[in-house]
Amino acid sequence: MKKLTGALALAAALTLASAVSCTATAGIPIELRLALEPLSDGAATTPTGWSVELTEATLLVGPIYAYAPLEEPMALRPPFGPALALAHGGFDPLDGRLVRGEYLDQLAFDALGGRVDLGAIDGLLGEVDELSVVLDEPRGANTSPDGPTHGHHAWVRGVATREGETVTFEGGIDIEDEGLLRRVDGVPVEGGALADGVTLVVGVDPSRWLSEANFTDLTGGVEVLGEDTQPHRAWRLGVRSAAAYSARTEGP
Amino acid sequence: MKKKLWLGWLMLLAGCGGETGTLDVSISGEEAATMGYPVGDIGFVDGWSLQFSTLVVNVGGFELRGEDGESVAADGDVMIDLHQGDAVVHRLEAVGARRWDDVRYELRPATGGSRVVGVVDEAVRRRMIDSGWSVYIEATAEKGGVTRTLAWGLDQHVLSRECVAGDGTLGVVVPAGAIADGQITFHWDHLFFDSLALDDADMRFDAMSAVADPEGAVTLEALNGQRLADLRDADGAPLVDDEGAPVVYDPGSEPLPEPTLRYHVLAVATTIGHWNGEGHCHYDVVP
Repeated sequence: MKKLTGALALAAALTLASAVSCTATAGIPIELRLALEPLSDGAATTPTGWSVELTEATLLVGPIYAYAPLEEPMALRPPFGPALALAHGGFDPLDGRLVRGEYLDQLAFDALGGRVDLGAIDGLLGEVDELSVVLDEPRGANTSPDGPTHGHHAWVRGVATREGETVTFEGGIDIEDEGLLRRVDGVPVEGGALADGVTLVVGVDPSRWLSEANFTDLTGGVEVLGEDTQPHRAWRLGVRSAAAYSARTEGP
Repeated sequence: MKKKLWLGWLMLLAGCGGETGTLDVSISGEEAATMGYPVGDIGFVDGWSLQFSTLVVNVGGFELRGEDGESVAADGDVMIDLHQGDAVVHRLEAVGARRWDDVRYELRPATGGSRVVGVVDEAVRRRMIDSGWSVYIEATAEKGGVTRTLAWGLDQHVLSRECVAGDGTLGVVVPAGAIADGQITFHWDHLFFDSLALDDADMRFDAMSAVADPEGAVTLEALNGQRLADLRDADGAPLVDDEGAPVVYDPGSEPLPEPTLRYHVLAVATTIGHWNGEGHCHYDVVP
């Protein structure tokens, strides 16, 4: 078995580009709206008995893509097969999928705040059943250390307690641009039909971020969740799981 | 095979419409199925060796589809022990001489109607049918005098479709008046991959070994005791690699029922099927 090195990130970019380009050649444009909403208050109890409460949870979200069902192939296909942005151990749901809704900007979303309505986005009439959220690197003002995520892909602050122990923590997470690391694929869309006046509502559940964290080795004070800490590793897996997201259609 | 395919292309270009050819479909577990790991440059980064003694798969639903809606299907399911070697499982004759863009097949639970190719232990065959397994593996892993055994039955039902050939082209070309070879290839290293998000995932076994029972058996159920973000060694200490870095298994965005090594293995097992060696497919888990 050959190891594919180098081509994967390029293939991912090509796949995303081809997915976006397909919307210009297929489907009826509609007035589609996008909103983001928090799905929880961020509280979690971990398998090691820690109770986690978050006081800050901010995530850079975008781009976002909503796909037509698999049985609706793209209008155009590359002559020698689709661009497969595959991780060898995984699969690429972008491949061959028609994009019916897309948000190409980046929002710093307060996952402990309220719903945010982003207004109109590009959309095409028809069914959607899955969605991808890209956790892209900070852009523009989001790159600032004084920005909402302090220059990171996500930022968190909170308290973990267990049987009298208390750990106050904060930190940022950065996701390298390699393979499928920045893509959250396979988020199912409930409702499913995009039409004029419909709002696509994407949910973010911060309680999934540290639900596997173990604060035992963090000794107190304000602990920074650096890359060498287990909670950081747990966060890195949790924030990239499709289980931490939801999607539904609303209205008109 | 390359010579036959070039002849096919020439005949197609000459406008030989309506002609037919033959496709022989084989199933292979490659060298690893018979020789284990390490094989070539593929092996466990944490120093284990592993030898399979039984490696049975049940495959059905083999079909060729064209973009024009034409299709050709093979009859029934086949069951084969890949530790015994590769075998041709279907010969499709009078197949339209053309490119078939969509090669598809299913790794699916065995039934009494599954046709055995070669030799499959009867007790294994019955157990696979009774348990609804599509894959059954028996293997022995060794490292530093420590021995571990695996006996895993997987009930995966996965449709592999729109398979790409190892050369990057779609599906398969059946040349007129000739025999083409197509191979369903299973990559067993996937079962031990530590990532679903990176192409260059590593094969690991330390985390699995750590949850072996007193007899050295590593069961799928025991893998539930390993949380992916908090893996432990046999002594309960954080599991680290040779450089002292924590070992983490990364399922990517796959929403596992529980973030444990058992569900990671089941998720990554959905991607073991390939086409013509290195060709990937789309993998749809059939509920």
